[in-house]
Amino acid sequence: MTAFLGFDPFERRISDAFEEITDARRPDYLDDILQLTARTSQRPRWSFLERWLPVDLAAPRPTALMGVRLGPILLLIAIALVLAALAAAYVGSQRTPLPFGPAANGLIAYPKDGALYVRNTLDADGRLIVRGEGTVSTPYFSPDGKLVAYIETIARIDHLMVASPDGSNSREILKLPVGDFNAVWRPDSRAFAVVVQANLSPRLSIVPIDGSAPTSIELGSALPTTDLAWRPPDGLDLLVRGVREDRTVDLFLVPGDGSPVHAIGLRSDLLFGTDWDNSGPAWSLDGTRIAYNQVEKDPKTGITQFRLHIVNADGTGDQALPGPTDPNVMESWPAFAPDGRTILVHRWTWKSNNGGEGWVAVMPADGSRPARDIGPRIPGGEDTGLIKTWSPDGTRVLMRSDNTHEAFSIDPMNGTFELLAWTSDLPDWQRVQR
Amino acid sequence: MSGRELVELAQRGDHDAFAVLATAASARLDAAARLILRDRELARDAVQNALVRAWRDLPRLRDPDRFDAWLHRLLVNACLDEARRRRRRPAEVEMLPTDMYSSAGEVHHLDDRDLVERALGRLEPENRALVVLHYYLGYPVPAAAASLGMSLPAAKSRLHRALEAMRHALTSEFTGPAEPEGGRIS
Repeated sequence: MTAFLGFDPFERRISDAFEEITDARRPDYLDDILQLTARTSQRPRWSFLERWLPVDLAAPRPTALMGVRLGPILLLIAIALVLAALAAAYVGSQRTPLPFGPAANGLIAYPKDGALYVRNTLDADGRLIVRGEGTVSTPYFSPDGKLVAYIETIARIDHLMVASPDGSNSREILKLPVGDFNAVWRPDSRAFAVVVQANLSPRLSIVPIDGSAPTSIELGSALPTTDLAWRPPDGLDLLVRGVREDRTVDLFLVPGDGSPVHAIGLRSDLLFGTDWDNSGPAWSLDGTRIAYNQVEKDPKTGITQFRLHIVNADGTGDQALPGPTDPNVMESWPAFAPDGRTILVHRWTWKSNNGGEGWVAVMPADGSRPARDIGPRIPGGEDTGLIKTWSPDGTRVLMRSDNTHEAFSIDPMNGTFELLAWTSDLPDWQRVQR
Repeated sequence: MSGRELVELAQRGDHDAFAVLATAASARLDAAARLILRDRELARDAVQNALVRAWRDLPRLRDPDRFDAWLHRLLVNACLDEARRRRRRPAEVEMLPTDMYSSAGEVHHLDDRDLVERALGRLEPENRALVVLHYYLGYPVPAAAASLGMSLPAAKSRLHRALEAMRHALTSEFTGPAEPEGGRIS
């Protein structure tokens, strides 16, 4: 036994030995790192990762009554009255409409000067709906369009709030703790799935908006990340990305019927660490398949790439979607169009590649061909910080860049776009019945 | 100017304030990364990744008083990611100079640090990170567990096993070679 081992307690000496081993001093490479950070954009304070959930709401369209003679009109009026009564009863019963599929475009909400505004269309004038005690940001309509959530920051404390679309009846849902945060409306618009950092550890909960107690969800030995996606068509199951203790990453399905949480079983090579493997999951409209980000090495070029994969909900049939032909173009963050036929994706080239660019593209959801570029190119490569969303009717794509603080409206059909001069944030579009 | 004020300035995009914070933390970050990774180049990569991420995500840190804990968590995660990448390559272990071990009769001259470093090298990176968080960065076990995404019982168990492995390794320095924890050096 050495003199060292003779000391008691053993642990106390470890700290001293660590101090001697490390000889901590300012590293000579620090200046290089600070030059790098000086060229790196900061992220905005808050951004919901999933700004809009596709809604499957097949409301019957009104039928035009044209060229009908007077005789049958009374009968038709009577029928119409009956239909109206039935429709009213139907709508009244749909307090929690199925929140997946196309809908009509409603109000557009956006933050401006620390307050919350709405406008009826992209070209209409805006009107103030919420000016709180603090700074208001990040509007996010509920799937049924009857509420709008937002973040209000007061004395650096962030509050998750909800209000009616006219700004009335605002109330606090929870105070947000330190760290990354994401909240996704539950499809019935009565609760949020929330991932917060509690004591530096992420926690997943279902937080009702009626003030009742949250419900915690555990993923076994894995910890949740902020990637959350409710499963169509009934919206009962929740898909959560989780990191296991061995740091491999998988997607976990939390069944709504209370049966055990189970892993999908995806590959996790951690080529870029735990942050990216199997990230950005998005459900197909029928809830049978999941598109997600994969990080993999191109066997031809050896380049490590972000690519999209799609897998059956039971973990079988995993396959890569056709990626960009240029191996230096990365592709990730899928978002299904409201009709489920198209996938909106984020593409970029690294900053080390002539400064890099970021943009968006659309591909057929059946994976029959690679994505087609649309909209503007934003300089800055991986730092462009693009966030994007579909309009409820699927005719527009909204995109916002952290790098330039610009927002755009893009036609997904022909790729043309316009700058939204009235906002520097990503607006959120209310869903209304068609 | 207080640390809290510096963090608040940095959160609003003041890079000079961030540079002050990063400089103050850098020695400890570099040292902790070297302890966990036992490789200077990997440690440099981990510190860079942690500081870049800290700058990028700083606006999302709600409580400026938790800056140090948050930064250390970023560093540990960056280290474990580097360690994970390294596992796919042949083992790289930064060995100590051997001239310090000239004969068995000189064991009493061995410094604590040499023995501890050897013993530390026998641990898995996750357990090394736990030991470093607790014994070097001074975090209570619950906070260290949270930083590593472990349950408290799991962290206590791992810490106990790590210490036992280090005790065993230190004892074995004078009785013969010991198997690395988990049967491999990473």
